[in-house]
Amino acid sequence: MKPGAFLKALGASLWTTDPQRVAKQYLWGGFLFLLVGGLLAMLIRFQWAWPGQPVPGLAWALPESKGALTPPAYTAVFTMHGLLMIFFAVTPLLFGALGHFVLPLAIGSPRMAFPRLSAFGFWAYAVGGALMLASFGVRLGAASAGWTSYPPLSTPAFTPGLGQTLVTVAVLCVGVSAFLYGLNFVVTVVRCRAPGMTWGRLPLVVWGLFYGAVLNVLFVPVLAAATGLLLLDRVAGTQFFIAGAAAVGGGGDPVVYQHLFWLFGHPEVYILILPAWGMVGDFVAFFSRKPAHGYRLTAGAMGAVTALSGAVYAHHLFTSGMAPVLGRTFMILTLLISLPAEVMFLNWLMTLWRGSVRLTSPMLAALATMIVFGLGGITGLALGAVATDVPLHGTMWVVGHFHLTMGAASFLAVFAGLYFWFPRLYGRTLHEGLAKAHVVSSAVLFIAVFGGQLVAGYAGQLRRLYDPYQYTFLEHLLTLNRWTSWAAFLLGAAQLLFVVNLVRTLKWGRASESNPWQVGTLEWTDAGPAPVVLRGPHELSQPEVQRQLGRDWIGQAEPLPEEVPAVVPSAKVEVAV
Amino acid sequence: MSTNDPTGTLPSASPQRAEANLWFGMVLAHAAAVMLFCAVAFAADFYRMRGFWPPASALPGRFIPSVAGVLLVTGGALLHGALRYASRPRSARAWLLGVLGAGAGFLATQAAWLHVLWWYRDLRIPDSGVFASVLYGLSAVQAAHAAVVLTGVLRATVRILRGSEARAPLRRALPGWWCTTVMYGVLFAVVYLP
Repeated sequence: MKPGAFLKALGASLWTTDPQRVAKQYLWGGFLFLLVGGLLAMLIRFQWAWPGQPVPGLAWALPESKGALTPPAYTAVFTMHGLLMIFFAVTPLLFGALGHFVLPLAIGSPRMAFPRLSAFGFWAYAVGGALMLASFGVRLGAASAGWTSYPPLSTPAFTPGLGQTLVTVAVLCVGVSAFLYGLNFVVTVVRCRAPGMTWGRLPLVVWGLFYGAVLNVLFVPVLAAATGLLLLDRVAGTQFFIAGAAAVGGGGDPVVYQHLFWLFGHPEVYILILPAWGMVGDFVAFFSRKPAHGYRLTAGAMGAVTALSGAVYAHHLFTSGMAPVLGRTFMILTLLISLPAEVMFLNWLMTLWRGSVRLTSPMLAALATMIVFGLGGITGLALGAVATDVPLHGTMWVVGHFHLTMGAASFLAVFAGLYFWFPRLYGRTLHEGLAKAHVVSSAVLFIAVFGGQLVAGYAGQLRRLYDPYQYTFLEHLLTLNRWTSWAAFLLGAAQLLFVVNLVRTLKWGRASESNPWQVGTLEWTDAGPAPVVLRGPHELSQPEVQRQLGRDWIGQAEPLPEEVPAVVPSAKVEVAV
Repeated sequence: MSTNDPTGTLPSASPQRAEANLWFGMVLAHAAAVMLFCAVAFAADFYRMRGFWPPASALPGRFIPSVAGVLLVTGGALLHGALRYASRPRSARAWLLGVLGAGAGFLATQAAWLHVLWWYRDLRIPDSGVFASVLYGLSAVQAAHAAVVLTGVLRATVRILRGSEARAPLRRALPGWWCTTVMYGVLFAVVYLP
């Protein structure tokens, strides 16, 4: 190939507007940052198990301390772990990869509403990711103000150097990316559904992606405002969040940043979990071979959570000097949001009840998502109520809680989606045994690791401590933390099961069947480029379908041989019958 | 396995449908811009409530900012006129040139006013504390939004000058224009009123 033609082909493959290729770009980007963020997590766990001891194999990066994490290195490690995992791994994997892949296919649209926005979005994400990685190499190190980047820690007085600034710009870039795909998803779902694909026939995962996208459009700009103002404080000398002795001419207030950050940050939890809930709802129905129980109620409950998610953020500020009346208001709103979540859980359980349950890898991952999110949700109640939040705030309890909800549940949902759609994405079948082993071991170890954090937090261990055992009252937690760290290392090792499975399948995997899970949603049933949708996504085990087709599923756009065309009014159907 | 349109041979969405998609997308983008602006305005209000604000006597004058506001409102009214005559390029041209003049005038007035505040009234960052930060921060966000909307009007004007139909881009620009006008109203209330 001539160099010019090669460059042209390379450019075309990098600047692609095909949603499925964009999905693959996000997938590999997400995996890269999942790897980096995961390795940083191992370093944190090593530090809590053997504080200040040299980490085997890290002497090349920290030669002065012979591989031991110094306090500044430790703060940079946990900061970058959080930022990479939330903004550059899990969110892009759920929305950028699975969202771009499944959304147009599942609604019967040939493409996204704005294909070029998909490409712009990916490249904004890629630039942000490059800045994150570059920040490791600058003088004074990477960002170290925690993943929330709270001022005054994140202002130049406390985190001088380019690292924190690069990371702030990187978060802005990934915000642009999230906003662009959010806008694209909303317009695609509202405007580009196939004929007959009514709101009541959307797969639940599309509902989840849609609601999450709405939250992205509304609340990512608030994050942009917070990080934009922080960036101005860092580079232009403004005083938005600088207070006290560091301020000039009066200064501002760091608490404003907390308000702005959590006005985005709490909906972000739901941005991550809404698509996961959608997947759970769909997969539980698919693999119980039953219609989803209370489909409309589930979709409505997801909508209620979406609507409430912007009104509960201030429970993160209970200990920031909030007026008691506001504290009570936000406590009630926070506890209220658990009601629609309960409705969803009950619907999933009712779907499972007396179903012909098939414990496939996506189903196991969906069930694991339910369990870890349930644990995360229950432990969150203690943080939603003022009286219990005050003693638990800032402890490892908070860390265990949000890792169960945002980390473990989203991670398992990503793998549920990946195992489910991989045959459609790459045309090959992953090894089911390895996949099941990966899901089950990950779920058990997640509970062990984050359960250990909950226990440590309940015992009073504060989060982010470099050496918790310098406090006498925490010395007895060393054994617990060591066991938790071993569980974390095993969890990291368990991911090799997925890596082996992925490499093996991409290299030697057999071609998949056209509809390996035997479900009727449009992405599996090859309904053609312009399908007309006739029914909902979970039409499973219907007696009439079994009688006419001899199977327990039917495509959303597939007419029954004896079915009167859908365009004929029902009155005429009765006459014809 | 690929998309529903693996060969890329499906016809694109009809112009009307594509235009409706674009209009909806623009509305969402403006909603996002409003959220961003409201977040900054919320911060400003927080500082006012906490008393980090100069006394009324020390606030900068309101005459030139009011002129800038009037220019924006005038531009919005002219844009309605341009939209009305969009199918008659000759008539629309005059209206659009008025819109562009008003928009450019607004940006120039703002730039000149901020220049005066910085250099001649010593309202500088960081010496003037959070008030100056809010003033320049809100102004920058609003001006960026106004510049984007003005670029849209400029593109529509070029289309009309070339004899093309420009009703659709003008329709898209209209909510953006009023959005930026409301933003300026909020900015004015937060920064210039005691």
